[in-house]
Amino acid sequence: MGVVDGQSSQNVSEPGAQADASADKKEESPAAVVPDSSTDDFKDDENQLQDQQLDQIEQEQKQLPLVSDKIPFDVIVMEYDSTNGPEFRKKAEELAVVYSDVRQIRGDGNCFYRAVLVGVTELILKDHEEARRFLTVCEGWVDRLLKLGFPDWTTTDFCDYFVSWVKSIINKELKPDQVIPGLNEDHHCNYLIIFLRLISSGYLKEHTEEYEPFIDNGQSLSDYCCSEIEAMWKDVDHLGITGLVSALERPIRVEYMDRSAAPNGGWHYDFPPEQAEAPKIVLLYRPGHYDLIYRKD
Amino acid sequence: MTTPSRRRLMRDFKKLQEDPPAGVSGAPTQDNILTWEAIIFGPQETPFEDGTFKLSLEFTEEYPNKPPTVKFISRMFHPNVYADGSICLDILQNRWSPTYDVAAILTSIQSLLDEPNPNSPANSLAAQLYQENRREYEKRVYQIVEQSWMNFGENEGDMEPKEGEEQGAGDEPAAPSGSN
Repeated sequence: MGVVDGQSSQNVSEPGAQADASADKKEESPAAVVPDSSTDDFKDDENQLQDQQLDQIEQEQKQLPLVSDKIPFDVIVMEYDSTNGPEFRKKAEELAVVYSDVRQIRGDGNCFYRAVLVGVTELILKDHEEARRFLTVCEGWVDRLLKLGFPDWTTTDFCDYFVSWVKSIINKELKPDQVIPGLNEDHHCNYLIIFLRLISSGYLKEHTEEYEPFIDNGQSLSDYCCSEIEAMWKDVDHLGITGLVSALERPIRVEYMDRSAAPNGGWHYDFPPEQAEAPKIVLLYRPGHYDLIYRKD
Repeated sequence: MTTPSRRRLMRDFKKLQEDPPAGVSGAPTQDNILTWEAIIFGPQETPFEDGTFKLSLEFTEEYPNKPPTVKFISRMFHPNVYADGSICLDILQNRWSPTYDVAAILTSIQSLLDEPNPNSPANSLAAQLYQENRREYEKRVYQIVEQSWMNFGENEGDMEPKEGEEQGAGDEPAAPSGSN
């Protein structure tokens, strides 16, 4: 059914049907975006200039692959020297003792989600049992999201797309050596990313009471999820990481180049914390960016 | 190969046909699934009532990651619509979500018509009249409502709503009777 279920069409203020289901959600009118102080007729030059700059940044980003091949970790070490980052150089050398390879992920705001997607995909390619388990978790999310009030039509589409992709990996409809390269196709990969963003948001919304206190500015969890998690190209934060790893039921470790960035002030942190075994998926965090790294055998 | 955006747009179109929300319609142009035309009927019991407003929606391959560019083709007089027809609406900009589809976009614009936000004006005269001289505002709105019919006569007819469709739309079972 349509997004207007249960509401008079004249009063649909927010197209997401979330408003219907989450009882505590405030009714919002379709707030117009506040433009710059000069009003009237046409968008002003300043906005246009900013758009151009954003386009340029986007074009530069697109020079890099979404997901690089596995390359030796030394590449990270060589990025730093005594002049541009002696601290990072030292840390990178330490990590190079434990980690052999890295896959660099394009820094487009989706890097965390994309890195986890690649990490999980590699796990399910290697381990059939893990793949079945992962499929079950993903299949379960359709109903969970709909129960939370996500718009039926579009949400189901994202879920179907993701689930059939996982199935095509399991039944080898997709050749195993094509799966990871396939993630370099923008539109395909980004469709998968939306699913990950939706279930991260979904997990947090299922635990609203637990997570809402961590949001600044008195923003509701629902608003936070809409603007920070579900929106493409928005960088992840601690809550988003928690949401995704919990939604996927798959722990990850993050290695921090900069210790002050770690939640516990340590060099690495596991999500969820205190794993009995070191998580198989490991991300490297450098300020504002995540890559995927691999332990030495 | 069909890209996810094109696949999704076909889905959106199918839904609009099978389960049309009250008072809006839309379809891709014949030769390009990324370019749509849509019609929004002015909500009943508002100054926009009986208006048949045409819009264009330009999608990119980034849809639904990015919203389409939506503009009124019909002349519009509204605090949040620029002179070139561009619409100042949060969900088309910073509050966009990939879970919004074409039906959701159109119903949001429809509800914006009678619920303007005069604090962020795209048309300062409309905003001012809306706040200070409602009668004059409604008069100006009525002018563009009348113009919206004339424009229909001039344009090619494939998007033209059928006679009576507008009335029927109000009885849409999905939309519970809001006012009565």
